[in-house]
Amino acid sequence: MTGWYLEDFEIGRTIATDPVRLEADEIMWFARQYDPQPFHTDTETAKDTVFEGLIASGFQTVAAATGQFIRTGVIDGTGLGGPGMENIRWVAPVRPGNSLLTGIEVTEARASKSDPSRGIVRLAFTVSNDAGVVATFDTIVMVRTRASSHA
Amino acid sequence: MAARYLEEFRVGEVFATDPVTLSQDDIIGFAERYDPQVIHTDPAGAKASPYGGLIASGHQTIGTAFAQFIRIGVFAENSLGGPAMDDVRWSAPVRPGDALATTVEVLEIRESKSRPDRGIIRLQFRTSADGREVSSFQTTTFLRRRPAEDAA
Repeated sequence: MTGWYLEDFEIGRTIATDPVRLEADEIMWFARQYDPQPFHTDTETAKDTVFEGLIASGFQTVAAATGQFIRTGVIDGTGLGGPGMENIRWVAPVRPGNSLLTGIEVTEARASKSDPSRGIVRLAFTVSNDAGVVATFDTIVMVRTRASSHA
Repeated sequence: MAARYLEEFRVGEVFATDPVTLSQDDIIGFAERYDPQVIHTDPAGAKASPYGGLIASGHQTIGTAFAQFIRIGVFAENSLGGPAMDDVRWSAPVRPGDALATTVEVLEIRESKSRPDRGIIRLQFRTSADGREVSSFQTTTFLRRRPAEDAA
């Protein structure tokens, strides 16, 4: 499948992802490299922290949601990289075994002023577990325009 | 460095992390799980892309920078978790073997009105490779204040 072009990103359009589960081993593997704090790196030491048990790094929650977005194929062959993210909020802990479901909504889509072959899209991510929302963030991606594909 | 309480940080203070590199295997291993795009997972496919070769996921770059700061040890057990991150910018590609050096500046220190045992610290991260900035972001973290019985 070819992904969406700029023209396909209508404001308000939503993208559904498959759920992803983070188990304790993967939470600890990620944290030892990217966020080595006691509540992320070890099941035992995490018990003595304010979280009273292991929780996933917020960086991992955001990355796991991003991985599920990429797997939808929405920017396959049309994505041109991402310049940034904004407004990342971690509102509730993610625990081992939680199944994370990510909903994505197009909130902005505009053509590039300097390069007519591409545009900039803003996507609002909402990540939830069974108890409710755990994280929200905006991702900015550059995508090809449909016109560029016929060039 | 030893762990610090909220009161022991100063606005404007800057920490420099040890440099760190990501190997091609590190980049592919991360991206297959968290950012499975050809530019991050497939050296041959990446060569044919506008980037001209494999580049690290931006999520891996910011995680790597954050970990290097945590390893300095000033947060340690005084960190009570982070509610937010803002203004993440990926301004240039990170390639295998790039030496990533990060500076971390204290932007804001604020006591909590509702929870006297803690406050909020905001940090500005800037990561460079060979003197060129590759990413920047701001974090917000809850940090313990010095316990009352320790007060001088």
